[in-house]
Amino acid sequence: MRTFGTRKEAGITDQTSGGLHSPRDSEPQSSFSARKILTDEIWRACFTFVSLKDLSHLACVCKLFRDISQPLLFTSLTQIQCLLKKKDRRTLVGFLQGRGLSKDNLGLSSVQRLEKAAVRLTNLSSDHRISQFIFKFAFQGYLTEGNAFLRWAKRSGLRTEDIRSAYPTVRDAFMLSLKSFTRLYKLELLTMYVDANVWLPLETIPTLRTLVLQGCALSGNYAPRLKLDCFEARRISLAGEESHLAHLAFPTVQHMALDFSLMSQLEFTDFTHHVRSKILTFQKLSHLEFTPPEKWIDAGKDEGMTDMPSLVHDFLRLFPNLEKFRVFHKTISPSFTSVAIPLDIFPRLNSLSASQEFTSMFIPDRQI
Amino acid sequence: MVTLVTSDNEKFNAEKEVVERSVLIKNMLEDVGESDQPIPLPMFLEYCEHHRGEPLPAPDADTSQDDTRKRTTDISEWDQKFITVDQEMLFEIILAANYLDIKSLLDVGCKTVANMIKGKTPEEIRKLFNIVNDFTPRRRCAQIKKENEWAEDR
Repeated sequence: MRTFGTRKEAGITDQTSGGLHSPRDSEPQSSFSARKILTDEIWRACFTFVSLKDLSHLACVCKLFRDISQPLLFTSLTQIQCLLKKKDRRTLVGFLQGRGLSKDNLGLSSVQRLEKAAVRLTNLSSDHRISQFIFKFAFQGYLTEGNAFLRWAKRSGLRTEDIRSAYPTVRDAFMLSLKSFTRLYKLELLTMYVDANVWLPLETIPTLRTLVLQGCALSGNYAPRLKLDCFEARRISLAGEESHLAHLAFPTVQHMALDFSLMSQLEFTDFTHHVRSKILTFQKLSHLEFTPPEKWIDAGKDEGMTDMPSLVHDFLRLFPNLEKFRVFHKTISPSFTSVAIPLDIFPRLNSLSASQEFTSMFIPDRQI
Repeated sequence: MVTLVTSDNEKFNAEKEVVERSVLIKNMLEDVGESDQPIPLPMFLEYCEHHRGEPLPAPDADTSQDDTRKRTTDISEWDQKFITVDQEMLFEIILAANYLDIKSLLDVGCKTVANMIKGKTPEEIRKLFNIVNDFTPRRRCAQIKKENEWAEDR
């Protein structure tokens, strides 16, 4: 911390102050420069009071100012334009948040809201000046089949036909707008059918690094080629008989969260099998959060497989370079297999958090 | 009463209530306890004297807003007058306010700097603060300008 001292201590001397007030000098003559007097934090504090236009000018002044002002420019834009508020997700209002969009939707029918959302998405994507600066985007879709949807529609007093007819417009508008988000690095998809129609446009976004699927139904068996760093699949399910989980194997991914709690044990085996058959191990994966299917254990017990290496063994071998491993499962029992899991399959593991039952399946007892 | 000593060894007497606008001094006083020990500190009494009695901002009250941008650059008339100094003095006041942890004064200083920047081109800003254009090559600046064009009409 720079102390407030005499002028000499502050680095300002009489001979240099001349340079400060002589705007006629095209090139600064002295070594004194205002940007060296104030710390980066103080400059940043100053810049928070500056308009967007002035910030864009500051970004051109010098490298330091660029580094300070660019994040302010971008943060403000992503917050204003395109982050979906959590509380809006349950309603039809919240496709796009910002500029008081939510308020003017009150009093509209659900179909009108959906249509409006589609128009907004189209407008957003057609304005290249805005869409190119969208870094994060969340899209709430609808699974227009299934009991959950019917219950939800009934509770909300909506006609399911209305949603089914209007929703595809919004989804298509969203799929089209994806192409214009040329710098997107994080995409969150909520309650959508995810099939090749979704994967293909995602492959065209070279900057995409983080993908979150929340409550999505996976459809079809297209295996997308995405170079993800981080992948989260939470409470996903399968739609259609052809569907399987193999396309969740992203070889470049480093952080992954797999929540299979809605899946059956069979589908879990399917995942392991497909990934292995394609020899797609997660070589780079270092952090894994895993929620196994509810019946992960019991099925094996029923079939009397207790002296066979379990499904867990196969599954864990998919991740040879794991460093951090978290398992969310309460009712796991060590008795389902007598073959303990050798901890050696994770030579780099340094953190394992799970229930005591789960951790006790590992041998030898290595301190982590 | 508290005695403040500048680094030039000038002594000022001030009331505790006044100088406690600075979080740093407040903490110092708490550390030292009640004593006649002079506290070595510079000129900022005028500002604190004027703003005595005003409620201090709650600690961390503003932190949630720190990342968002603050549009208002309004400065009260007295503060405006107080801060009308040459640039080097302005920077000294800002540094002092930062060091002494007087948020309101720091804000006034930062707003003043923001007002100086307002409406200026990059070249004018460089001249204003005597900054060397360190972009290499020069067209990098044009590129940044192009990237940020959207902000122009906002």
